[in-house]
Amino acid sequence: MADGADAMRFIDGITGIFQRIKAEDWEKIDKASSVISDSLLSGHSVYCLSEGHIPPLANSFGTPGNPNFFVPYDLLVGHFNYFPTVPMKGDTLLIMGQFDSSPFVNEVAAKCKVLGAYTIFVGTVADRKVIPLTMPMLSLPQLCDLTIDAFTPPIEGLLNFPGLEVEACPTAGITSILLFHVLNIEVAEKVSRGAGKSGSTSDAKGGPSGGKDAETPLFFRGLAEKR
Amino acid sequence: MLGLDYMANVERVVDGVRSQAPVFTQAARIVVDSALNKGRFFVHDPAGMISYEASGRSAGLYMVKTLGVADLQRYDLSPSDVVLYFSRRSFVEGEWAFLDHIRNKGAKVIGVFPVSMPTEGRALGDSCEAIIDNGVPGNQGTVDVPGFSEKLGPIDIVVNCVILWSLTAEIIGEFLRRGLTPSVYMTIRAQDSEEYNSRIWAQYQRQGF
Repeated sequence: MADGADAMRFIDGITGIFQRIKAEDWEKIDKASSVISDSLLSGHSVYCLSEGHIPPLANSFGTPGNPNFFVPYDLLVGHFNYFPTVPMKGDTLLIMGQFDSSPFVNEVAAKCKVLGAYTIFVGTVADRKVIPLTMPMLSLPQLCDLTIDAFTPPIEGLLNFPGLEVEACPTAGITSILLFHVLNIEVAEKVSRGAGKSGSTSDAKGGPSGGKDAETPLFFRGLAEKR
Repeated sequence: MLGLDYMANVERVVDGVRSQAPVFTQAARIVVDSALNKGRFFVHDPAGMISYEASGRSAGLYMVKTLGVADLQRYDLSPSDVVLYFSRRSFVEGEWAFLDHIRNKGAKVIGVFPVSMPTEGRALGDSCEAIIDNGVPGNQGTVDVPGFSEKLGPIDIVVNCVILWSLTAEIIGEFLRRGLTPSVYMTIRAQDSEEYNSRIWAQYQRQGF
């Protein structure tokens, strides 16, 4: 076997997922970033709730290169029980998870949706034959307004090894952080132009104000005017 | 569409990692030789992000342990141990005492850092048995966005995680080529995972890997 063959198999696999994100997810990424920038430009907040081993926001908050658009919902609510900042109408909640349901995250998604927030889930619809639902309710892709696929393999492991009972080497951490930064950059580009896309579906969902703020020249100026 | 530029930056750096295939084999052999000599496999990174992803992770290895400054006394490193050492710099700055402790105990170090970064002082590579160049441009963003004074979109965590799991794949392959079965977690969310994980936990305690 060639040197590093298994390592290269993983690199081939993960770059294949990157290609799928570009080919199959981009329309949803564009829509998500429009909704998020609409929220910001209309003076509302955007929140991020993530679970797993490397929650994207926890790994990016305060680091150079992160524009810090997102309020860390998991830190505020999970650790400090800081409930006054519950996402509601006009706000957007970004949810990232290793699987498509969890008792804590599902509850947050359902509550915020009832309060009128636009909910975006980054994750993959699980194969129910191997990953059962954790509670008798809708999964996150069913609950949320928009789902961006992270193309997570059925039980997380990307590679099959003859002699191992389970697939190894997970991808969800890599893809969730990648998509977190992609969304941040797409949102930054839109707010720097002064608007998201007019008439985004967030209006139809009772969410942010869509194109009402299309004239706002800059993100920061927009916030100052609104607040 | 600047998000596509960010993805292109990630892919460009990952391509640079792809060109280092022999180093992955070398590093995997160091880890497997260590495990067969009752050694332990530690992962260290300054902020604890990569090590947290590596340890106790579904589809990851049971044998991985996180190593921070606070862990040194608890683990009492030995020459049989290996540390996978992620750094944002090619040189040793604040962590020299930590690195010296590891080296003085005789543990082997596999370094992952941007090799081409100018070395300002003591070179990290001098303390490593194997070096993987992650090629990242320091701890900073990579994409210019109009209206923002600094670049957005850091790629270090993404690329370091790709390196972590690529090396893990190579370690698993190396064990299997030697007729040994490493212990790999199954997610607790999967059907029958409780039975699997308790059985594999017993295997890990018996084998040490």
